[in-house]
Amino acid sequence: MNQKEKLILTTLQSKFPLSKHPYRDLARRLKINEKFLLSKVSQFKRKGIIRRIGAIVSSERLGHKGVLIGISVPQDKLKGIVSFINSSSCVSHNYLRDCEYNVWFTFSAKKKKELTDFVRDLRKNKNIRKILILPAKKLFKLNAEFRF
Amino acid sequence: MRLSSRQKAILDFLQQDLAVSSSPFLALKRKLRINEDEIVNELVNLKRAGYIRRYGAILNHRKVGLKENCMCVWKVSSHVIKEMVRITTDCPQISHCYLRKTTREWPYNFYTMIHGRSKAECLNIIERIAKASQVSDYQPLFTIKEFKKISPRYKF
Repeated sequence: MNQKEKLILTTLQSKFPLSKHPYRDLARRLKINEKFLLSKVSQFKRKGIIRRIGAIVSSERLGHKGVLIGISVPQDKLKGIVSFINSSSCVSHNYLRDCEYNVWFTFSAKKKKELTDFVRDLRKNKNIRKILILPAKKLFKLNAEFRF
Repeated sequence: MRLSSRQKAILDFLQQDLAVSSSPFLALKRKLRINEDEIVNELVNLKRAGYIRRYGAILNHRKVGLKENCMCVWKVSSHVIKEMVRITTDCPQISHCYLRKTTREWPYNFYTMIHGRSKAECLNIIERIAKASQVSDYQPLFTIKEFKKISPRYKF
């Protein structure tokens, strides 16, 4: 990636204009032409560098309560447990990590019951014994804008 | 502020991928039968009211060279938290900082998501934080595999 492309990407990330014609305004700001910018954006999307362009809605503002959950899953049960977790629409992130608690995922729901039902399922039906449920007490930073 | 049905429709639209075109709100304009200025006004309002946390391109950090991701968990005493927050939130390679409840088995209360080009880079950042904060009880939990990562799409 050249310097110009990096500049385009970082600007798309952090200074995307709140306007009717965001690409036109952005092109003007970057002193490039709009057609060129649009072709670059398409290219970045095709390559998977840009996941999407749009809004990240605040789950807290919508009244969702989010928790981080870490569980310990034996290797032979990993596949099944992971697909069970991934199939929940309350789960947006799920990772394998190098720790005794090897599977970590976020669970966000409006009603507390959804969480308790899910955890009960894990414990009773999926036989997971070690479960950490870690609600956030305070958020200090949330800014997935990357410098690269 | 309660969301109007128009605002709900706009939020729903914005959770999808904006068209790569000179007038990306055209489809929404037709659907809601309002003009683009009104759409932009609502967008500004929603952002100001905190419903939209961020607006713009969402990148795949792996594809821009940040291949290693580490959730480092720290055991921070209450009187050090303020200093820890100052050190970690200043760091551009850290995207998330949270204080979380602890359990008997898990004493770590402070969580940082660190993104780097290599494990060494992540570990360097961690060491720097440990040194600056004098917090010595921590665990770097590197991502081995990403099973799921989506922008949650909230229904209204």
